[in-house]
Amino acid sequence: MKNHDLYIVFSLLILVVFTLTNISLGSVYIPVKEVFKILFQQSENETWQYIILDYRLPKAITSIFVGSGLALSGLLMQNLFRNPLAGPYILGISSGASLGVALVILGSSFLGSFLLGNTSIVIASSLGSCLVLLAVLGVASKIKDTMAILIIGLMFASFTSAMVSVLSFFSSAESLQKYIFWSFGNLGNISWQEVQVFFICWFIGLLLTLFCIKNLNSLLLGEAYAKSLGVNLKQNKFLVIVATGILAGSTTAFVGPIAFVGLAVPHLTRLVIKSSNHYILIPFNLIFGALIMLVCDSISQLPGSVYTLPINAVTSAFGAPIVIWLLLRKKKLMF
Amino acid sequence: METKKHILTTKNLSIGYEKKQLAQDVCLQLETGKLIAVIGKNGEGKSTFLKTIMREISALSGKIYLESKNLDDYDVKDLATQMAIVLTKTSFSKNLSVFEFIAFARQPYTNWIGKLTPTDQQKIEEAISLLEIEDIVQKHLFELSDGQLQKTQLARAVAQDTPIILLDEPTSHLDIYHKAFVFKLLKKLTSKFNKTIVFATHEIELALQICDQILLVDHQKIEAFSPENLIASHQLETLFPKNFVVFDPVEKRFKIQPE
Repeated sequence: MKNHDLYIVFSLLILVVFTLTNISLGSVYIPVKEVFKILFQQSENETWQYIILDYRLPKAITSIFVGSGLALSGLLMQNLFRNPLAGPYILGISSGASLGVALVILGSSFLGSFLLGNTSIVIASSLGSCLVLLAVLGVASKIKDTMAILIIGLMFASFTSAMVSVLSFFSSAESLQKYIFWSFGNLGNISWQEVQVFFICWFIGLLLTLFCIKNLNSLLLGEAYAKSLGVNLKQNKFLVIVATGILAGSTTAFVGPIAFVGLAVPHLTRLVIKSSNHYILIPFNLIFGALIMLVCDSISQLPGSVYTLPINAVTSAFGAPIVIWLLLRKKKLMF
Repeated sequence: METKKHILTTKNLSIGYEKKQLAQDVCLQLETGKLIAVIGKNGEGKSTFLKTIMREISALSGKIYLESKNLDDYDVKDLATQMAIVLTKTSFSKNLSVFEFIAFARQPYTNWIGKLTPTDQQKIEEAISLLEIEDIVQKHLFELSDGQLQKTQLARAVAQDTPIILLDEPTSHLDIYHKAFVFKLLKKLTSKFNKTIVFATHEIELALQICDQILLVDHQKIEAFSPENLIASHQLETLFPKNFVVFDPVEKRFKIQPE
């Protein structure tokens, strides 16, 4: 345990370094010295100050919440489905959120524009992901075969994307563009006020997870053992679903769908710390998720250029090979 | 003379599944501190009986009493301090250290975050030394042999510190030394620590040598015998098809019938 404490402090330090690096990089060159000045003292250059404090800093903080939140929801889902390949994106949870958001953005022409607030996007996205999660879970309770569950998750995803296609066919170019940009994923388009709301969602998800932490560990032994250790299976399942829905749903709502972070980070964490014990796994998972998201964001900024890549493309380009590599390794994936 | 105390009682219990009833009108009284084997052919309902007692599946009809209180009335948390289980299927995550795995047994007693108190630590260490697995506590489960894994599972059940332990075929996949080790340990747990142990097994010969009581699951019935009475009842001789295997009541063992 002592060793792990040391590692946590160490990786937190790395996280701070990465955050500062992330803030220092961007399309506008700002010397590192100035960045520190702006962050910790006062700076004369108001433009730079604005870029750092109102654009890059909230973006970095959002990246941390997105990465850690998705990693945590992936971990929860792998535990819930007892399946190492579960993750918010793979099981169609993100598509559920997409459908919710599509209904709000694209459907606003039918439903009236009063729905078009950020709050309603967050609510719709969370509801959408919770609903798909429940549906997948309902099917999963009938079918024990893990491969079948994953395929069903994919089917749910294509079903929801079909709905989205229908909606986009009937919607205006303006709202369609808004939706498409949302689906690219964007970490930078978030105000301080939204960061606060996002933080609250993230915190609730984390709190619910901490409340389940003992149960999550018992469930590593399987449902029968967990029950024999006093776990209320139904209640735990409910809490985990709500936590996953809030984490994955709010993330997707604020920054759009982000692929593979939820699936890959828990496995990378297990690879590094060599344990499935959630007391250790959860803090490392949060930190690693945040780190990877910061790196992906830095890459998507294409340092030195004015272009920004869609963040979803960056995480996919990195995540997919990682997952393939994990599967090709001789050792079986363990949850 | 000491008074006999019944820890587990069944009244007109029927077990099985919706489509297939496996045993009916089971009336048993299991004494505290005894080693009790459940024997029978494959598919006759040994595991189902255990699963019913551990509330994994519900009884078709009838009642089970644990310490004179209806088993169904136990809260899942209270039951966790009464009964520990060891299952055959090892579908648990192997990415845990032996210590972590055993420590999870203390969850019914720990606080909401699962912090181990000195008492918990002591119980875990007692279980580890009882099973003689001090040398592997830091290893991961996926590194263990079948014998070590079974010892670890037993240590977990012991660490849960419950008056009853239920085991489903605790000696399958084990060599004869480990089988004897497990049987002797179970015996020790009953005689020295006054635990009641009920386990399903195919090792009828070993069970006859060491158990206090044997539950025979056969022909939709579950009946309790002492080992001597079971042999005297001649029921073992008709348990399996006679042209394949016969029971020798004198030598107390099964023999393959030559062609």
